[in-house]
Amino acid sequence: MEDLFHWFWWLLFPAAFGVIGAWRGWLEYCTRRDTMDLLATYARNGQEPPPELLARLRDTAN
Amino acid sequence: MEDLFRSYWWLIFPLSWFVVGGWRSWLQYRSNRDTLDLIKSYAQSGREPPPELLARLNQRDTYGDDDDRPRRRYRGDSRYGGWYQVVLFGVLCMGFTYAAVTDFYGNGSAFVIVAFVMGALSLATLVSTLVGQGPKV
Repeated sequence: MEDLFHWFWWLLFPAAFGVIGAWRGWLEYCTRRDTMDLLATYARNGQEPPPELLARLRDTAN
Repeated sequence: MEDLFRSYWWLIFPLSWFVVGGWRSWLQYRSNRDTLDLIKSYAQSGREPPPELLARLNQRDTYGDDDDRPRRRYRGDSRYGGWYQVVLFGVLCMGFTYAAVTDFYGNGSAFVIVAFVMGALSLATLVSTLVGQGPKV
């Protein structure tokens, strides 16, 4: 096991970048979902959503 | 095990950077979710949310304390934040290149990879700053 680590320790970096990228992607998805949920609440109540909320949706779009 | 630590103690720094970055992303998400929940409460009771609350939606680093002092944001949407990172990563790259060339602590080969990573981060930040969109780190 130690030999394996001596040879391939550098793999930690691309693996970490991949994990962090996936984690941030997941958080951005959850944020977009929460924003859409809030917009749905405004729509159900027949109210106009604030422009800042729509701006946030535009900023977090793919 | 002790030999392993003696050879790779420096890995603590980049790994800590990754862990802290992930933690800060989580806190940012939690803060945004709490803000959205509060705005939802206002919407459900048919009231207009205060403009300060709506302004929080488009801020970064909202998990910090909310005092009225103007905050110096060294990382964020401004070009100033971009140049800070260009210089930071550039100087780190030069430092690690020097360590690699002079075989610092007898670990010159390890420093080569770190120097490349820092150089890549510096170049990427430079390009995104010049294009005008700001870095995403």
